[in-house]
Amino acid sequence: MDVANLASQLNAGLILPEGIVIITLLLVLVVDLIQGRKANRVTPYIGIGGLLASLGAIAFQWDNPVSNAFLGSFSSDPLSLVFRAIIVLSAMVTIMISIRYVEQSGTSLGEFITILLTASVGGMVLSGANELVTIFVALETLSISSYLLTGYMKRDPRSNEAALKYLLIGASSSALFLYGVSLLYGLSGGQTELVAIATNLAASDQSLGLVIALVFVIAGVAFKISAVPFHQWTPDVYEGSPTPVVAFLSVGSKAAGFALATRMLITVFPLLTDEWHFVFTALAILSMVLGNIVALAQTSMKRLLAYSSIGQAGFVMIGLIAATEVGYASMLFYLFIYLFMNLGGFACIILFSLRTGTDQISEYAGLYQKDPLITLGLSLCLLSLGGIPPLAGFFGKLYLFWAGWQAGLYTLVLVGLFTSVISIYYYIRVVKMMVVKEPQEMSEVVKNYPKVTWDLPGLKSLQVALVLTVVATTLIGILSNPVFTLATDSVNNTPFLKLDLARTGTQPVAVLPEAIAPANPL
Amino acid sequence: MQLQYFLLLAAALFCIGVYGLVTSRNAVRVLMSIELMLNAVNLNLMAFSNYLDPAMIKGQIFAVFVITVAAAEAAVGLAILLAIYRNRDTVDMEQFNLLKW
Amino acid sequence: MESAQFPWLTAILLLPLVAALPIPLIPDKEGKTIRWYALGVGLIDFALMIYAFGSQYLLQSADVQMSETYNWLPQIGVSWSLAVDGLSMPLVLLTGLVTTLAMLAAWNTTEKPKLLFGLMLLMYSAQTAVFMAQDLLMFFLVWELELVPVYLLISIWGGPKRLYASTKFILYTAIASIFILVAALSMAFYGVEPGQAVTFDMQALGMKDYPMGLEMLLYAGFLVAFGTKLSVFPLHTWLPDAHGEASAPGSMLLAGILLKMGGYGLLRFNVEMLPEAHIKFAPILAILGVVNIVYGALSAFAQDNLKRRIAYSSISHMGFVLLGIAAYNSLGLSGAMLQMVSHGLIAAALFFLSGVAYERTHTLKMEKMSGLAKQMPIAFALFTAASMASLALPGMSGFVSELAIFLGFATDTAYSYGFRVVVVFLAAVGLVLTPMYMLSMLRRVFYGDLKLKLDGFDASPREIFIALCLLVPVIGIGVYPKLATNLHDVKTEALATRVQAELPAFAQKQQGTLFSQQLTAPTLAEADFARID
Repeated sequence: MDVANLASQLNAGLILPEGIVIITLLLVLVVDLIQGRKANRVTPYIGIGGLLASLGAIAFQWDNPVSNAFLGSFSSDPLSLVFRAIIVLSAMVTIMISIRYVEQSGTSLGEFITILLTASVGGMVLSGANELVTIFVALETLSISSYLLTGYMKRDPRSNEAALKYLLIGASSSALFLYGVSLLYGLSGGQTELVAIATNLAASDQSLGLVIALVFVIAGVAFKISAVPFHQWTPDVYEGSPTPVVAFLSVGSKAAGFALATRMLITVFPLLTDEWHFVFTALAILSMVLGNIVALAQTSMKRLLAYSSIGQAGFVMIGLIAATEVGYASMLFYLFIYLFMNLGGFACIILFSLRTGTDQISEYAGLYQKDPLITLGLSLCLLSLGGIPPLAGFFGKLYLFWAGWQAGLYTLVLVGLFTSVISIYYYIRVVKMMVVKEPQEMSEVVKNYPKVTWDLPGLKSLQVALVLTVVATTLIGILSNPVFTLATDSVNNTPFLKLDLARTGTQPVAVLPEAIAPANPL
Repeated sequence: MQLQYFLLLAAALFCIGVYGLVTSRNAVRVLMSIELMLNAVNLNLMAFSNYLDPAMIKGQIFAVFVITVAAAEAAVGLAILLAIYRNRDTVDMEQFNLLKW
Repeated sequence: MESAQFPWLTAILLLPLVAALPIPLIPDKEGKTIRWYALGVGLIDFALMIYAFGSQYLLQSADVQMSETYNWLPQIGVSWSLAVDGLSMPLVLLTGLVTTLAMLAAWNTTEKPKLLFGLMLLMYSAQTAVFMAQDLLMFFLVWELELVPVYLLISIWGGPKRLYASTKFILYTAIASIFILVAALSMAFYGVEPGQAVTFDMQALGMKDYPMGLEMLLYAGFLVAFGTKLSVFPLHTWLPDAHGEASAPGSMLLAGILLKMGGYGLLRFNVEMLPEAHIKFAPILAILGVVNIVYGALSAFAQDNLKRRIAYSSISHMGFVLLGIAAYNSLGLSGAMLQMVSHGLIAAALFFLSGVAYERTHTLKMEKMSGLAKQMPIAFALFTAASMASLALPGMSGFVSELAIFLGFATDTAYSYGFRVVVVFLAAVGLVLTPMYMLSMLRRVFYGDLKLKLDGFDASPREIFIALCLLVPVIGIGVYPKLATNLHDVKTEALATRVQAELPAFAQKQQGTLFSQQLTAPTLAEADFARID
């Protein structure tokens, strides 16, 4: 087999979105090196432009019939495209909301953007990775960049501490994951491609080893999506890290985790579907209950959102467990709207902390009088997270609960409903703090609130991001039909999901041959 | 030699790593324990690769990747540790209590 | 149906919502422009309702009319589906009237006026939507929609304990509404084969035949959800706090419209969609109704806070609604419907007038207020009129509706004679108690020596206008009840027929257990469950 032939079989064009991001990050690095401090004016916009281009490339690939690249180790199916789009979008919004924050902290903006882009490349590759080595490398690219981002405020001991905790727990969980992966490699008799592993596992009878591998893999995945009881790092890391990083971790990194979970568990463990569904049911219930109840007691806005994000991950898992067309689609839809409502909330928090230097909930008292925009934006985003109609979060939960009920997951849905009522309580507590407090109850920082201006460099993009996310949060729910149709299409056109749906019998779909036997010309 | 012995060795190494992870107070030792776990994985991969996949030796390639990534991870870990040592003058895990565990 | 037509209901529903959106952008610090704007929108919407119903609505038809259905979320079977019938149309009109008047009542609010009027417009939309929605999930959506506006309405402009009251309100309502969603999902998914389309259309769901066990569960779920809203006895405890603490316009909306959402839900879902279970649950409803009547009346005595006393009187009056629903005949159902409309007007008037008094006295404690009659003769006259209406003075709407409910229940031969006697007797006790606490309230607030220095004078023309707008229909209905009953009679007739259609079959099977022979409060006998299996 000659080189030209091999190169044509690689289908390298399918990683064009990732390629664009890589080029962008190199460009940012070089410009930052050449221009020094002056580069801060341009580098963020280079980053945003690159991500936009990458988004365009993703859209361009939507109807691409060929999805396997690199001899089957990367799959650019519609599901991965959706996840990659979510990650790119979250990175983009994160850059927009971080410019002012990073500049004000006196650290280098160019490096921050470079690391962030690296993390998103990791997440993007992870969304499509179809082979163990690729999965591992992508996962570690995402994780190591996240550790660096977490510790980006070098002089802040809290940031250091958060980074160290994140690194130690993250590294050990990826070691666990890796151990499971190595077992999979052995059990399948030396295969690293997910589909081939599944075929070989089905042929051999390795139940005990498979269960052990499953446990280790779930431990690794659950860490990424911070499902209880693998959530301990979340509140600490969220509290200590720079806020824009938290925004990215809570959306981009989590979406990548869900992409990994979906692809790996469904493809590799069809034999143990009941088992992993059961484990995930337990994880989902624990996450919803613990995340939402502990959030009640939080006094710091970032910790509150940390626990709320744990709870939200529990809701998303309902869609994964439902394992129906609507279930997977509602998972995608929820992650998509979660992007807007969570990042919108973080945009408001960043803006508030830029102006006042704090993120204690009690300091928000009486903000309505001083800064109606933050108040409105944060209220809408939080209420949307709580599932209040007609905001996007309500529709997201409606889809999830609908799918869960259809799949017969009555307990999960009931737990979800009750915990979302609890979540309304703590979200509305913040809204109450901002809106209800009378002028004389205003907190000190709000009393001394600086005049609202948007002139400082970097604030404009923050404002744009804030308005965009809040508008999206308000409208996507009501106009959710096209988005949800897109999600359904992506589920229906993704070979491995199609296979899974056909197997579980929810949907009689013709099976594509390429899904069963991956191209392996070597 | 049989495959099982290698696997047992790897499992033992992995357990030692987990033990060290849980009990160490010194952050550097925790990092080392994680390395131990990763090396257990490498042993696993090598053993499988030798016994089950001698033609493609994917496991060996995988191990190379693991070693590389582990090096990167350790580098980042030590860098963070250095930063924290500058700020706090300690690497004792029990002292890191600014954030509630 | 006539899809080419102008979508009146959608327009009525969306107008206030859309109008509320630009409010943050209107440059107006003191709220002088905003209030005119909001009032204008309210009036236009109300006029739109009157015109649309006047020109399109057929009184002699019991079916849903003016249906408008659009695809909304087809993947999960949710459509934007609106229609009105005899149950919803009067309540939509009531919403238009009371909400518009509440905005007028909030005229002098100086605290956060933009937010206030924005929220009121939002509630306007949400409430009309609740009464018009014909898709169960859309109903759930709009039902939840008023959660946050009401919460803020209580917690920002309320009395001293407003935070407690608003939190209690939101928790009760949110938890109760879970039952709606769960019941909706169970109804829609019942009997649906994989691959078949799921619909949440209420007509279609009402046509389905559910197994008895499921139907009872569904009924119970809806009963909890709507019972909380209607403040049925053990689920009522949020109401005195919420109604007592909210500002006058807020209380007007709460008592005038939000309570009716519960009653409407009971009629629409429990009676219309689940008639078989209704037969079984009706005696329980009757008992709960009586408990509400007597309990509300007795508790009202113990209140020394003016608004809390009115709030407990609401609980008592809602008992009559339950009692009317429990009757298997059209007279009772019609009475329940009329009671809802009439109470909506009367309670709104009472809460509004207590707000008028509060503005002058800055207290709601009745013993502190005494002697207002001399200083505020007009307000006194209006308050007296509203109280008389509330205690069901003949010639006022309350009298007609309560009489209809009494007659409806008492003549219902499906219940045993003894049961009827006991229920009617106890309800009559409540009826006797009502004038006692109402009159004692009047005496304590308006007679005696003036203890306070009043802040302001007698009711202003604006306030007189609001009160008259509420009281004139009350007297109108009282003198000529057909005015209101015409709107819903055909529908309640059809509803009663539907319920009665289930009755003989049921009564035959139940010979000797529940109906016509037993005196004590009926319980679900073994035989019932045998039938479920």
